[in-house]
Amino acid sequence: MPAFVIEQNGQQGSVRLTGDLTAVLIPELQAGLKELLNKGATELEFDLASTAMLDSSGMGLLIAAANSLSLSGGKMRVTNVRPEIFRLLQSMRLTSRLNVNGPAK
Amino acid sequence: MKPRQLKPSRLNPSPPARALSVQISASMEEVESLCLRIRGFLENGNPSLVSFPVELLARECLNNAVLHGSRSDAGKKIELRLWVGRVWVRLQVSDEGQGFDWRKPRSEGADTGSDATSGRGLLLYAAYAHRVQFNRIGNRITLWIPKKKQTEKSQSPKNQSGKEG
Repeated sequence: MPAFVIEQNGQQGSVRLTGDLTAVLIPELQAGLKELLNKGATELEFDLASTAMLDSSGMGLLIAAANSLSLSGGKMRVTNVRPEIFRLLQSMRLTSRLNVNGPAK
Repeated sequence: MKPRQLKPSRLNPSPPARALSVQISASMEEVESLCLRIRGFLENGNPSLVSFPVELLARECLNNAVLHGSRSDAGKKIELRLWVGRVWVRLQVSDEGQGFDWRKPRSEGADTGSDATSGRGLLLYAAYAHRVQFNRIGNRITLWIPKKKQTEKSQSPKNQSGKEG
């Protein structure tokens, strides 16, 4: 199974993680995101429903994506976040910056 | 802020209820594999509140040991030790690098809520660990993580570094 699935429909793009968002995944995911943004995606959703762990490298990638999108007038959101990850992003004061939906039940 | 001192008998989970000691090569793939092993070791079929913070902090320490301590040289070794006591989990990670001056304030670290894409390791230590300790040369870090449920802690990193005795 791939570690993530990227889909694009015009300006809308989505990244569905099939596992954890951690340092080992960053180079491959960065390349995929760069391609997505180069193809004109300006609205991006990260679906973390299957993500049990997010480390500081994963947070860095999400922030970099948000920074890139805000420079081009786009926006992103992070959805289906597990409670532990939501609390982690809260403690780093990133839930607003990354437009994180409340924790998945 | 001065780190809160605990009685040695409380900090050292003696005798350890459970322990894990593993040596890996300095590569991100080996870190990933070890972290999944840590998750299994901690949960052991029974997910606990402590599993997430311990694995998260182990990842941060191991990533630092690969990227900074070992400069991604897979020929170098990294050692992880984990003790699970009644009150604390003690996590220790050491590498073969030259260490760093942990006494010197670092300016490149991100603050909470900032747009910086790196430098959150110390913030995570402050958010989840009760105490952080480096050895003299800075190539070994030890963290104490409480087993009870985390309550909301300070939003800014605390100076929790201290020389090992």
